[in-house]
Amino acid sequence: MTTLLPTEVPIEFELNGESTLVDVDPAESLLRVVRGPLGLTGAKPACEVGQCGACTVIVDGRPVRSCLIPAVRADGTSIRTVEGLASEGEPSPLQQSFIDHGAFQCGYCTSGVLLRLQSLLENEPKPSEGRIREALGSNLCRCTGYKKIVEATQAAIGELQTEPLEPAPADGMGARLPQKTSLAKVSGAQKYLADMVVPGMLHARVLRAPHAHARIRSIDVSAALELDGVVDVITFEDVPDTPYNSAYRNPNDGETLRYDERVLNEKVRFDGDRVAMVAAESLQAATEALALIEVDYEPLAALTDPLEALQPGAPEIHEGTGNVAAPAKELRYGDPEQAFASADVRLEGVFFSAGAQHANLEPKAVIADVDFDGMVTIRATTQVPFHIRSIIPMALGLPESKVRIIAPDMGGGNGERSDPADEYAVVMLAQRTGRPVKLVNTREEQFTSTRVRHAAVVNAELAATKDGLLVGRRTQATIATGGYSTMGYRVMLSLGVRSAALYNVPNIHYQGQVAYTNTPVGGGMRGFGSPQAAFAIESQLDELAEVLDIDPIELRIRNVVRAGDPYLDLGPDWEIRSAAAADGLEQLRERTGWDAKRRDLLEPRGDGKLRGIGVAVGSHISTVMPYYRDHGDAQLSLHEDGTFIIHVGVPDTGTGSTTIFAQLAAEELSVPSERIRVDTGDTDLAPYDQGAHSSRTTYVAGGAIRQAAADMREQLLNEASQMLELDATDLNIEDGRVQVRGTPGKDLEIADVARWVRYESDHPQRLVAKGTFLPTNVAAPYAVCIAEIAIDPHTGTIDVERVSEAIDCGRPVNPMFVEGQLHGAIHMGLGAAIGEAISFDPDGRLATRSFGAYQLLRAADMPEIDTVILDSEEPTGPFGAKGLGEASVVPIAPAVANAVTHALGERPRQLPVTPEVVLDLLARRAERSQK
Amino acid sequence: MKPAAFVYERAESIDDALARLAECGDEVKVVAGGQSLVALMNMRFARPDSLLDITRIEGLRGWTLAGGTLEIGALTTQTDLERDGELAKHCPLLAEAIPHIAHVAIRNRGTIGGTIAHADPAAELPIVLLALRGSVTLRKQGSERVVAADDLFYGFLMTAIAEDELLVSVNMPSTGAGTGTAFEEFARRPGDFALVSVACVVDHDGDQVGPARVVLGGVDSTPFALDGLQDLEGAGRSDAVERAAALVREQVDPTGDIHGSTEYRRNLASELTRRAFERALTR
Repeated sequence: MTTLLPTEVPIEFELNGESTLVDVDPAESLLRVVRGPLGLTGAKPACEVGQCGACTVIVDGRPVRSCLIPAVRADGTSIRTVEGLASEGEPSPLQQSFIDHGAFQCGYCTSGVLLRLQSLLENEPKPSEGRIREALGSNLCRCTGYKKIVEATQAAIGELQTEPLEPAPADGMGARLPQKTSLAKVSGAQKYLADMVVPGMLHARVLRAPHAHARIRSIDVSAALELDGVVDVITFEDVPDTPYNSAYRNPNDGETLRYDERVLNEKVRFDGDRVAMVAAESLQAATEALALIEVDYEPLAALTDPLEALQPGAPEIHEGTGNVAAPAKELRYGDPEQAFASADVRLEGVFFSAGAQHANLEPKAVIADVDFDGMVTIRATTQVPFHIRSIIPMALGLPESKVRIIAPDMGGGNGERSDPADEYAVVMLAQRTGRPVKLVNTREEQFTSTRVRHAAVVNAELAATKDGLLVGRRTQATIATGGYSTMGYRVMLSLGVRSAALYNVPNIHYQGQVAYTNTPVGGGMRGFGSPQAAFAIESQLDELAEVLDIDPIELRIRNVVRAGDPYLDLGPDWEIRSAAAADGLEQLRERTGWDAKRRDLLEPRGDGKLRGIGVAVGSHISTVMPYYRDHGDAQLSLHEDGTFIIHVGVPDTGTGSTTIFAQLAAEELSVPSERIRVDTGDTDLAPYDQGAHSSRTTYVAGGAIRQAAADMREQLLNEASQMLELDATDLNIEDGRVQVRGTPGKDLEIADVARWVRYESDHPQRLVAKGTFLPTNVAAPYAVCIAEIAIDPHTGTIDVERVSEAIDCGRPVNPMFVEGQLHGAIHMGLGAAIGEAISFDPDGRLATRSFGAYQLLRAADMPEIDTVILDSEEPTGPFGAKGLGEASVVPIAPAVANAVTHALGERPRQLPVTPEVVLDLLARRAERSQK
Repeated sequence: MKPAAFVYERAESIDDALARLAECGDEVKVVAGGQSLVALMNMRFARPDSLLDITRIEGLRGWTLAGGTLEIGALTTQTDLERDGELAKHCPLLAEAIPHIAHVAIRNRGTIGGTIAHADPAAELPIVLLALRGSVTLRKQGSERVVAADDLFYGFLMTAIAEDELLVSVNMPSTGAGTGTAFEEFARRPGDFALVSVACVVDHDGDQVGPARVVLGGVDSTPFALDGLQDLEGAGRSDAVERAAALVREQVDPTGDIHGSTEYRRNLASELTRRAFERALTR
């Protein structure tokens, strides 16, 4: 009998072929031992309850979840981690194939995915696509829609059959380059914030409210403070009495932001609201301390429905507000009353979209450090470093110059990290203890206490002529902002505006309101209001098509905007410069065989399933314009060895934006992108930028980078002309060298010029160029989706069989990344269509608090996917590019809803269309046919 | 996410384990694959003082066939069972159910004894055991007893296994000619816990239905054995299928939650029973 007390005990195992001895605490998982004392951080903590697969390692030849194995039980085993896949520094064939095929974006799930598939291939050399998907089913990915993972695996075994790709340039604009971080991401070397350790750091945990709505009668932290290892505990009594709003500031805000947040709260307004925060020497002590904080709550009635929250007499979540979380917004142009009065057809309906979660695989994390001088350095998983550099000091009463934000490459963004949440309290703990403090969310906290997509009730009316021309729209939208308002107003505004600019509708009336609810706090999420709007609009367009007996694609082609059309009523300055949605509709009609399928799919196929095909169009933005100012700066400097470094404020959430930036600069400078390094997200090093949101990264930050590169090119030619004593017009940069026109052999290396300037010229310096981009246009991207589905009428399950999506993103900077964005958008959009929804227990507590409960689609749930990048060029964008990340998600769920309607003859009016909703629709159909 | 502190004990032999359980079984939680228990510990829903690891015990892996009964060692992993083609011949129902359990990475660790002792009413193997009228062998210091599946599960995650007992084998009758079996389950995503699962064992001669057994998972706090199937004996195939489905509708009253209301789950249970019964009759 061997008995090991809960102290450090020695174990021995083979790790990637090396015999390894380590002392472990029996309660420590294999995952945490491999990552901690053994320093191999490739295996990732993402749920730590065995549901996501990010921590997969191979033990004794079989893939297992390392979070579910106490390390002590690994004694005597042989373990392989992602760090052991490469040999002699050379990536394995599977790793190389992942790089070549863009089989990852953020990379957070990648090591687990690689090990799972490596193990499959070792047991089964030529698995079918179905077997690959089945194996991959144990691993969640939020970025890729699994498609490129499957393709990379097939390619690694020589089984990938695809049509030949369009020929692409080898570098610069349009090149299918892998991410600059590729090798790090497939080898486990990529460091995410959770992987980082600062010497002397404390571990923080947050005590989160167990009630959706409650007042704190009393709170006693004395027992927690006495626990061994606990250094500090703070509650609402310790925080500044300064209310704030976490949303980023904009000069156009006016009175639209409510200052309703505090660092810690005396009244809790959602399940998971911050009550207290602990800093301790170990995560274990911090966790134990949470249970020792005694809180006496007075539970209050909880409101989860935004319409109920706005009823007179409803309990108030913030006193004196009537649960109105932002001023109502009204938008009106043309003469909507007249348009409706004279229209041939009028339609009306209410459409509900459930709240949703970003479900990034990487949990949010923050490390705050305060130096002797009071200078605060905050390493944070944030999409908006410059914004949090202004909001955190504002809430804590610090000068902005005392705060530096560093945002490392992240394991997903999707809008979740567009405003700070727990960061304020972590900074306070660092200030109070004089020690670095680290906080990493658990998966449960990711669900309860990060941001969510706003649930929305959209009451929509549509007026049209009998020829199917839209003449008027009236919309009333109510969104649920959760316990705090943050950017609720902007989402509500965006819901009314961005989607309205997709079709030419001369008369518009929009009214929006924002309600406080006792639900997780609403924030930015891919699409920012447009998906909720599109569900109503695209459903209604299909209704109109049916009433008028016009093909749904034809109806959309008649109404969708084209280049040269106005953007809403904003006048000639805002004219739409590029819009290929009509082309996208035409192309997808052909590619999917739409005309035949609209008829044929309704014929029974003998498997008892009901089939349908549906279309939808979506749009969004490439900048926060038109109602807010946008601005991005970038800096490009030249090293004496001829390489460049870009400093830009936009962090890389995992999309590969750093590679996009290098490609844009490479194109402008005519140098290889591998000679351009990109440093992102550091507010002390980079010039100002608004951040990675609003699909603005390529268009705005990329625009600034192109300008900086153009300036650098001019400086380089100017310097070379002085050096060679030739006219600058006789010089050119090509293939990474300065060339003298018409005189071969007189080329200079860029390094020669850099060194000459630095060491020999009369103006020694390092060449630095700056670029600024101030957008004057919305540069909306457009996305078209066609979805084909099969419904099991007995279980109500929707099997999405095929999804085709066409995107107008201007000229694609990197087509492989564009495809990846579309695949991820399809994954998220299908989730919203058939499964993903945050939901609540009757007492308002969050029911979806794990990957088990929240229905993120797995590999086997994903359909066959076809994507098209439309021929388009945005004149205001860098080399004709615009955004795409958000627009691409907008049409997916509406297309599925329209396909459901095609299959059943009954229209779903809520998303997601769960099996129960399907059965209700079938019951309604049966009722109707009896009449 | 880290479990609360616990003492880790590793039994090197079965006597070791039984001695420890005899000493203070109330403080000790036996762990085999740990795929459910450790997840619960990570979430701190379970906080055992002491974890008794039995996976080093020799002789509790693999299976034997004696007198028409498969005796499967408690520590046999689900993957081992899944890959065993011979076993599938003797117990096709078990073979059919196993791939539905979570994912490969879980089945690689998860054991047959562990999933039976954990007794999750939504898990696959407890309903298979009950449908086959199998049993478990429990041992304690100085004695051994066999408990029929019918007497094993008596509450949510609760079994008749005493604190000083160790589950050493899971026993299932081999099913041969004349008996058809089928397993069906419905999960929103493959690998998730099923909303409803059904195991069906039917004796039949191709035309008429004989003694039958239908057990459902996910509809009650324990695996749920359907009553009244004796009335179907002698019925024709399609008639029997519809009547079995109707019995489910009458008898089950599942608790609704965000993944499905009571009514939805009841319909599902009935539909899956129809499918399983129909398929069992073709085997």
